[in-house]
Amino acid sequence: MKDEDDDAYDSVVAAAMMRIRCDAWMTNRHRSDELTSLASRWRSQGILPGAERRRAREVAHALKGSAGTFGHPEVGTAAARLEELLGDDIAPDCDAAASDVWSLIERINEQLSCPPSEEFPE
Amino acid sequence: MPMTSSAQEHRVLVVDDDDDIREVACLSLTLVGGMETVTASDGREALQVAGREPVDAILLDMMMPVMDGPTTIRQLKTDPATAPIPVILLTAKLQPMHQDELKGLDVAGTIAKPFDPMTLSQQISNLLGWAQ
Repeated sequence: MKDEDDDAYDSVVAAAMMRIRCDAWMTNRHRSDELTSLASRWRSQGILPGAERRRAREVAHALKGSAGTFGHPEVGTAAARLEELLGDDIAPDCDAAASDVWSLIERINEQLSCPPSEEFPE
Repeated sequence: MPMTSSAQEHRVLVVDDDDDIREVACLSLTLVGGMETVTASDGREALQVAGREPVDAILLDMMMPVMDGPTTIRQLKTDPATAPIPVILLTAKLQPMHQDELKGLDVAGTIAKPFDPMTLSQQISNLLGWAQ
């Protein structure tokens, strides 16, 4: 049976978890901003240099692991797809790939506009 | 309240390049699981910490800059001082190429990202046969 000490301890744990989730949300918003910037250049210049593609892939990978853990599982899913799209076999001047990447980044930005939910994903 | 069983005596090295993931994993293991933690942000740093401080297990991210998880495991296993330490890989959904890479690695288990911080310590204890 839970007593008052248990409840107080659970509250401390929940508050600490929520603080980290808010920190992670901000970190992930910075990541999505960087992806937006990279994808904007891709769209405007019509080509994604290899170094920028690799950087975008790293950011997508980080977003995948973090967003899913910190209350944005749909962002994690979109970031996973983005990471796949930015693989080694992508054509750097492929308009269709650029369009797909842009759609995913728009979805990520939209989802990250909301703060994390209070419950951790199951 | 945290568990007060023998899990409290266990010390886990948490290795991840993401500051938030590292922090939430440590919080989970200490506050929920009653364990102790030390941290490293990449494989190379993990080798230094594991060689310097006693740890009972290593929770290791798969993909990291500087030195990734699989390379870190191979290095740990070549050193008699660190070879016996059980390693649990923390990894996002595995691609087929990663599954092949994992086959030859001496790991105690894998935990998928995203993970639930409230059950992470239990998952580790279950994999390692630690009582909680």
